[in-house]
Amino acid sequence: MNEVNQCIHALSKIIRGKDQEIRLAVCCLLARGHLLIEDLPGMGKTTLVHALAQVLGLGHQRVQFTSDLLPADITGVTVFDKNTSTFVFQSGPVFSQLLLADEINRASPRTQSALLEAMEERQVSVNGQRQPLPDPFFVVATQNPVYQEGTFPLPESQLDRFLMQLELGYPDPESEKAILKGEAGRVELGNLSTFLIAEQLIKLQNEVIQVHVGDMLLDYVMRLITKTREAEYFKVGLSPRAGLALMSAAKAWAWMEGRDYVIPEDVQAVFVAVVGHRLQVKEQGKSVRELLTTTQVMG
Amino acid sequence: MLASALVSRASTLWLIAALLLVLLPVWKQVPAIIILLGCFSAGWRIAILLGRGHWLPLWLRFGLILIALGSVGLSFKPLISLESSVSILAAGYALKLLEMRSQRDALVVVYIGYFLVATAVLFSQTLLQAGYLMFCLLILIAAQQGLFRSSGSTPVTSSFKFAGALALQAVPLTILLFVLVPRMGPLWSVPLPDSSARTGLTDAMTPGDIARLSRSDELVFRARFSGDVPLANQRYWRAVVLDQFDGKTWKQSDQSFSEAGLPRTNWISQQPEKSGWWVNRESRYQYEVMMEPTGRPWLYTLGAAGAVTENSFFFRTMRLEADQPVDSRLLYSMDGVVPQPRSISMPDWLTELNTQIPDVGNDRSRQYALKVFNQSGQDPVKMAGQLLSFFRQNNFYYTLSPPLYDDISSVDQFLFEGQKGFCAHYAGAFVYLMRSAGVPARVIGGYQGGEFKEDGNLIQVRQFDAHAWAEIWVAGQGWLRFDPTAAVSPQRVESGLEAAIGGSETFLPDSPLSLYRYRELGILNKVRLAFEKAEYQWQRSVVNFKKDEQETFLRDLLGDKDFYWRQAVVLTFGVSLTLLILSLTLLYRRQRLSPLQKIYSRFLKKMARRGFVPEVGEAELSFARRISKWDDSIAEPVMAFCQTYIKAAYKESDIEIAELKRLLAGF
Repeated sequence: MNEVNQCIHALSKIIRGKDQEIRLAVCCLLARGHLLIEDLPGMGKTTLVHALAQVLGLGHQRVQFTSDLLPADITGVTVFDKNTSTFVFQSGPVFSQLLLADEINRASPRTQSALLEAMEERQVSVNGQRQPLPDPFFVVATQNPVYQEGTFPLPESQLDRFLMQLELGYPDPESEKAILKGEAGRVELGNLSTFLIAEQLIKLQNEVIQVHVGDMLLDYVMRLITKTREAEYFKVGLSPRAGLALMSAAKAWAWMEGRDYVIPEDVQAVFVAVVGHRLQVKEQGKSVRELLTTTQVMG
Repeated sequence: MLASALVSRASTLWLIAALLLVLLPVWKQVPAIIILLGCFSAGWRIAILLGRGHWLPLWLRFGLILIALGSVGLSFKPLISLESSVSILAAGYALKLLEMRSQRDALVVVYIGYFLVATAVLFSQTLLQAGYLMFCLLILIAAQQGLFRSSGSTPVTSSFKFAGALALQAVPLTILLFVLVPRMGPLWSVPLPDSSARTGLTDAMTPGDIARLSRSDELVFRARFSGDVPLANQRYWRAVVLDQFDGKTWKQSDQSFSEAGLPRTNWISQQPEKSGWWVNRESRYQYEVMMEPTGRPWLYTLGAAGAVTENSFFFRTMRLEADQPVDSRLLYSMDGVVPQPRSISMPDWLTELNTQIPDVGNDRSRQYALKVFNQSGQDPVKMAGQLLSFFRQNNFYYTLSPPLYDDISSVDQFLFEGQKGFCAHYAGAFVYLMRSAGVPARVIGGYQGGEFKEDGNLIQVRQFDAHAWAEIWVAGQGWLRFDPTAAVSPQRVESGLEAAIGGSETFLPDSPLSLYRYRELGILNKVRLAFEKAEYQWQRSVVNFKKDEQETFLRDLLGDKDFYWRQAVVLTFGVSLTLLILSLTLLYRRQRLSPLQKIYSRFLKKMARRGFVPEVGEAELSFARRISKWDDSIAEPVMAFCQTYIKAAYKESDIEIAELKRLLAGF
């Protein structure tokens, strides 16, 4: 508990004015979810991920996705060792606790799917051999908004693999001033201390799973989900997997709030981040947030 | 509910189902194009639901309206009638459904649907129809309540249950209003359904008519006896008296009495027993007849006697007639006499009328009649007996499909060549022979027999019981009944038509599915009888509960003194009481919330008094935080209450109701 708050506090010094997003990012990792950060270049996406890895004490690697990146560049390759005269597997960047997939939508769909498969299975198959990935294993991907040139937008089925999608947005004037002064941002990364080790993180993740979910809350979540299926301004409603994602994120949020049970506010806090990228809005001006303000909390 | 909000899938489906169901009972009245339009509209909406169809453009919808109006305009003359109005309503339902997108449209559709259900009652009021319309109503209620449910897809059964519960709640009030509200005449009216097309006896008998009636098992009337019930062979239900013969057709000539310039009182009486036309015999039967509409004025009686309803009168020919055609189900009670009263007077003009035969044709019959008359010593009764044995001894055969006798001497043809026929032939020939000998005689048309049901002392008469028989005048004895058909086929009179035609002909050839055909099957017959009994009760006590019946019933119940005042007081009091009971029940049901929910709703009420109402989507903790931000004085206790409450509600820890109550009392 304490450690997590310390992490968040430390992170908020690096990324100024984005407390809510930082909390959501930490929440996502506590819920064992992968994170997608979508924003324009230069908004601090990469910095946030570096900082996350640092404070959580996770070994991390970064892959800059480009259109000529091959699946093997992520999973690793088997090479012939002259000295021992055998083939040796050289693991790729995916074999790290935290993988930063930068600008994932610049890579070709083939490479994207290699990564996404690893995210789902938590293992990779190379030359017919299954190689388990480390635990914990997180993928934090960043992407440019799809209207930028030279991108391959992720298909809906693969967007679903990410527990949350966040947008950072421009900093407020005060924070931006601090960044320009050099008091925040990437320059501060070096001063960041580590508050957790991987084993502790796994323990916390297990605590999150124990968080209690009551019937009344489930009723509320059901109402929200049903509404996405009935409302005509969404192309398709939420899947049961989306519902599960919503529940685990809400549990993590409740845990971060210091409760061992989930209340509607927890669901509301994570709702847009969890659900936003899974729903496609048909009608202009109808936002996912509107669902929250039109659904009764009490049946 | 937002008027502009979209209609949910479930509600749309309910409304489509309701459209098809509601069109069913009025399909006979509405032009086929409108029915097709309804089916098209339902299909198209389903296509849209499935994502395969598009909303129709304005010009096309406009075109459909023109088609609907055009078909109504062309189908009905005169244009303004009940059927045309209902057709326009049905078209409105179908077309509105086609463009229904918002809640407001859907409400319009639901209300048109209710109205359409109500109009179906104008065409038929049977028990089956009532049950069916109730079902339609439930579907419409389900559709309507679906409009007000913003979220959550409810399964069909629970929507239906909900609608059923709503309808049940309305039952006590409905009964009360039905019994108590005074029946008022309509403020406006459209011409009622045309009755000319109904089947039934007419006042002219060509043998083909009864053969046609014998093919139908349609109900004609039911008679309920208090006390004794006559035997089957005594159940001659008179309807028309046919005393004019033109060589082919027997006609009723009551109306020609007035043409003869006779005063009305000579042939019509409202108090037959005082008319001096006939004396009653001893055996009396008391019964009540509920007859189906016929569109004709005559009623059915076993004989002539007894004061009946005010709006009917007896003819001198001993038949009863209402003062206007029977266009809706009619209930009248009789104090009847069987076999028939004895007429005591026979003026000359009546003798003349009842001995009339065409001047030409049927020579053989005339000669034969005179021969028999002389042989029997000019005694009409003996002659009749001889004629009956003539029918019995010769090779006469009872059949519903006899050859056609269309010669100018049709009676000769029948008596001496064909010798095949049914009641109309036998009765007609018999009367012709009697008249040829100068004996006054006439043909009586009506129904004979009927199915007796001990349960309820009820006799049901159907169209295939239609019958014709003869009466002859015997001085000193009056009119005597002779049934020549009985001489040929005793079964017809003893056991009914089916027994008479035996296995040689098909009974009810046009209605293979009629339950009546299968009455030998034990269970089916029981079901049929039970259903018919229920139907009878329904018609008698619900449909027929009109102005007079209501007043009689209520006067019995409330007493005669200050009757209208009492009615008004009982009505007001009853309605208020019912509403009170209903609202108390609802209140009780609301209190069946869980203790936790009850506490929270008390909290909400308290907060509402201070001006705080949770917004949609505002959860408990956020609400409490908002309150504490705005009102310092209660910030602390509200937060304390809220913390305990959410723990109880969401952690599902042991609920400490007492603790919550204490906290709630703190502000």
